[in-house]
Amino acid sequence: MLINLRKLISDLLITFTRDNKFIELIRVLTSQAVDVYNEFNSGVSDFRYKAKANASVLSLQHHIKHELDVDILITPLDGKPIDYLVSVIGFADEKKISQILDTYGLASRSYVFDNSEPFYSSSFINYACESLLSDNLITLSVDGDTGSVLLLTAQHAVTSRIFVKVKLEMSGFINYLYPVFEIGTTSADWSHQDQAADFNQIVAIIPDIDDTYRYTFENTIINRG
Amino acid sequence: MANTGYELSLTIQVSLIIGGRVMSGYPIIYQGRNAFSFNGNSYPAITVSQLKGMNHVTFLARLADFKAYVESIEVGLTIDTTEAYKQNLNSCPIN
Repeated sequence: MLINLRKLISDLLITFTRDNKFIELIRVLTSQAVDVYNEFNSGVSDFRYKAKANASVLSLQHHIKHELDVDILITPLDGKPIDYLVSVIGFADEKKISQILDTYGLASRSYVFDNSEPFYSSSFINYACESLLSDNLITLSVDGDTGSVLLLTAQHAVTSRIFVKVKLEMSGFINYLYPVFEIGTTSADWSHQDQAADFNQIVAIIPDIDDTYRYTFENTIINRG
Repeated sequence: MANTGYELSLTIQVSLIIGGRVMSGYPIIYQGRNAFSFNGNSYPAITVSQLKGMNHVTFLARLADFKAYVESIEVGLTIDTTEAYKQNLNSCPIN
């Protein structure tokens, strides 16, 4: 805090003593104290810097200046939750600065860049395998086994936008579970009929009011009885 | 029950990162299988087995509200739910 001591002295004098001679006399008598006070004020930032500086911090600052040609200031904090504040003066890659800080110092100490924007990251963990239940299931049955024509009919009325899982059963040789897909809104039963010359690949085309959904069951080995 | 080849999750791990550092108190794990209420909807606690066999429409509804619930707590977080349900034939082979 900066104080105008000369003004303070005159203000604190009793009114009838506030003449120039007396004020000057007081100023001379207190000049040493004023000088000490002003010297303290001019040096306080330097004192703070020296109090916080230590060998590792100074070395790191010097090293980063040498490596990246950027000035940084490492300021100790209270450790709750961060131990050091890193101020970067100029433009530099924070990743490179972090690498140097992690390599050469601040071991087990946390630090943060004073211009860093906080951001969240999230991820899903603890996955479980989805399993079919009967109420999720639409069974497509093969109607006929003549030639290469497959007729798949769903015995299920679709009355709203739903997600279904399809279990494709053919001649008792295969149970192909096709995971969830969406059926668009339709008010009628839906069915599939398609011709597949190569039964290693079955293409299911499911007509819909708005669009045509096409699903390919690839690499499915069909053994026809 | 037979695997569909897909895996699903209602567990989210959230981290708050500043300057490349995970902040104290993080990561936080939010468990969407626990009972919670949001947007006027109430969801009971469910087991892993119930999650596995959950109707897909029910799962998506719960996931949407769970996402919004977590985002309301962690202000600034945006959760990408595309990873909540994904194909993984290695972990969950079709059978």
